[in-house]
Amino acid sequence: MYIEFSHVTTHCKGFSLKDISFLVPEGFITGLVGENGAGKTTLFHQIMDENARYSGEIYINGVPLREHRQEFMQEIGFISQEQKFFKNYTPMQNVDLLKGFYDKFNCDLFCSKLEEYHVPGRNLSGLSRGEFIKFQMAFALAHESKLFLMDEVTAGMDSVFKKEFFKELHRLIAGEDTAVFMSTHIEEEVIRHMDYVVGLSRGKAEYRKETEKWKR
Amino acid sequence: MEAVRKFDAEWKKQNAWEFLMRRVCLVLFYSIGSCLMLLPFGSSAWALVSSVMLFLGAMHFYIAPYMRCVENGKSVSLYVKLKWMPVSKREFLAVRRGYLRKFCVGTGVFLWILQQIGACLARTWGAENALFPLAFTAALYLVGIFDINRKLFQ
Repeated sequence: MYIEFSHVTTHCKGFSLKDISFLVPEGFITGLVGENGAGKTTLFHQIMDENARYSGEIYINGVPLREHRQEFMQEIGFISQEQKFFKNYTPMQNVDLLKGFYDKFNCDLFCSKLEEYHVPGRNLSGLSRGEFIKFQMAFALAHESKLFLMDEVTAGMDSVFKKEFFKELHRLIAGEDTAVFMSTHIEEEVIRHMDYVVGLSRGKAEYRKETEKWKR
Repeated sequence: MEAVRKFDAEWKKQNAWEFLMRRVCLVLFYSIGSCLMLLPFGSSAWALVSSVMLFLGAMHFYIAPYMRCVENGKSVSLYVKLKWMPVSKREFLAVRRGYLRKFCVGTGVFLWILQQIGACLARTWGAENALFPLAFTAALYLVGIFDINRKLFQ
């Protein structure tokens, strides 16, 4: 599942994204870098928010996102620090509430991932930042996402899980029909794990590069 | 819309206590309002205003748990919580409008019967006794729609 931004421009709360155009190919990890306030989270919100108003077009597999949003949302896993799940409920209660929205939700996979990631069964409000990210990762895997959007998820992640996390991402993109698009501030991650990188500065996409040569 | 209904059923199950408490309040408001509605239209302005307020309250108790949840002492819109799920605002609203319709139709029929009984007992039956419950129910529905839309993003 690939995603393409074509001349996406939006204005909200005194901030603008200007003429963003680039491709997030499937089978690769694409990084999104930029200073604080560059527009990374706003860009993710254009994909996720039904009420987002933008000019230009966002295509998923060549089809405009706004025309088939609900179908595409079945296969988009968005992982971020924002609390869109139910904080006063446990991971399993959240799944019981939300699994009905997905055509394919694998509860067994979700449970096994929670166990594998050592996510405790307490309410989400009692989870640490890292544990909350792990819960969301398990949730995204359970509904068989083909496009993973991750907004600064690795900050605050312990080094052991971070290793596992990137191993999981590489396993996912090996399937070739999955794309990972993640924002980060950590240069080492870009160099070691990402295939492409898009730079964002003051609401403009500044560059898009393959990172292969840096890895070497 | 089936997915939204499934969510609502599970939401109700996981918040059974809150739903029960609100249902108790609803029954209380509804019962007192119904007693006042037995008075024929025009016989007491005070009773009319009170019953209108009570039915508005009952409607609020009926619909509110499907609209909001409380997190860290703050009331949060359920739609905002579900914004990143594969569900559209249109579907979410349509299901809530369905609940409201069910409440208003039931209330309308019940009030209409109460008004006829009250008017016949007082021997003051007139066309207004037949029309008032219908107009009242329509107004209740419109206020409910406004309320649902208002609570959507707050």
